[in-house]
Amino acid sequence: MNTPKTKDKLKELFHEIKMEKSSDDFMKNLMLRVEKEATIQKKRKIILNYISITIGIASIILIPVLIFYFLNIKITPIQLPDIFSEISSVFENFSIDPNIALLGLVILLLLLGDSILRKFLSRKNELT
Amino acid sequence: MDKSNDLYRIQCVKAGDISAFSHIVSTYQRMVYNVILRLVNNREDAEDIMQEVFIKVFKSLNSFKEESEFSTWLYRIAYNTTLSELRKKKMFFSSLEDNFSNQEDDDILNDIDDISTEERIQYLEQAIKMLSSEDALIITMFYMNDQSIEQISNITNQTVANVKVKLHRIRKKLAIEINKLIEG
Repeated sequence: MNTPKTKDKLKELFHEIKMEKSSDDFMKNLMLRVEKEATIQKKRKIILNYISITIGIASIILIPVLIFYFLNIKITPIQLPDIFSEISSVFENFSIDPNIALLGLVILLLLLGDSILRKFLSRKNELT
Repeated sequence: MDKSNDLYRIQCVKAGDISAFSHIVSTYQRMVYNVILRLVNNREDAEDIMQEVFIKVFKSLNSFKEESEFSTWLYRIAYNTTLSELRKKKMFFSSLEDNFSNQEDDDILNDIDDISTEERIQYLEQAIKMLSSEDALIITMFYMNDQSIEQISNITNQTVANVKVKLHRIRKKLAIEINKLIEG
């Protein structure tokens, strides 16, 4: 197909070319772009997660609704067994001190705030 | 280039360690840069194209199937990106006409040893720039990058037979153009 003479001469010629190096700034600039791209990809992933969760919740609600609607199934009120009425009567006599309830609510809010803040800070650390 | 090292670094990048990507770049940038540099007129253009190549590699890293060879996968991206970037930048190479098919291989590159190394390299670089960008990439990968015909066929998505025919024609074209340049 080709003479080894020509092939070798060209090969020798190519190997005579000195391998050059890219500029020193190249890697720095490239990694800056890579970081930007990684941030975009992360954001895209988060948005996709939210969208998929929303779609999941919507389908959990919508699918039974649609099944009930198209199959013309009527929902009859559920009769609670006696045991439930007994429990509800117990809770009727149950009294809670509003101060204790408020304290519990404050603790719950503080815990929620703490976990949101921690999540936010860790995400910020990941990005920087 | 250690294959297991590459795979380890790819897994690190996939897990979110961006710094591992700089090691992948360091391993391949010299080869990619020198192949592209033969096709463009200046270093800035070569670096711009190389940056696009590595950004594409980073973006598509999740789609890389680890059973195939990473270097071939990377060079395929480099090949396709370089061709499309050259088209975008409108760096069309003048494709030589195939009016050399009846010329014997023995006639070519006879005078190459009579000239200096600098002149030889200069003529070779001029001749490469006279090829179409696809041909220039194929021949540069074959000779400079020492890629096998099978690897080039994988990179360019062409059959082995097709690559062989192309290489034969490109070699002839190059040799004739170098001879012409030597004769002045």
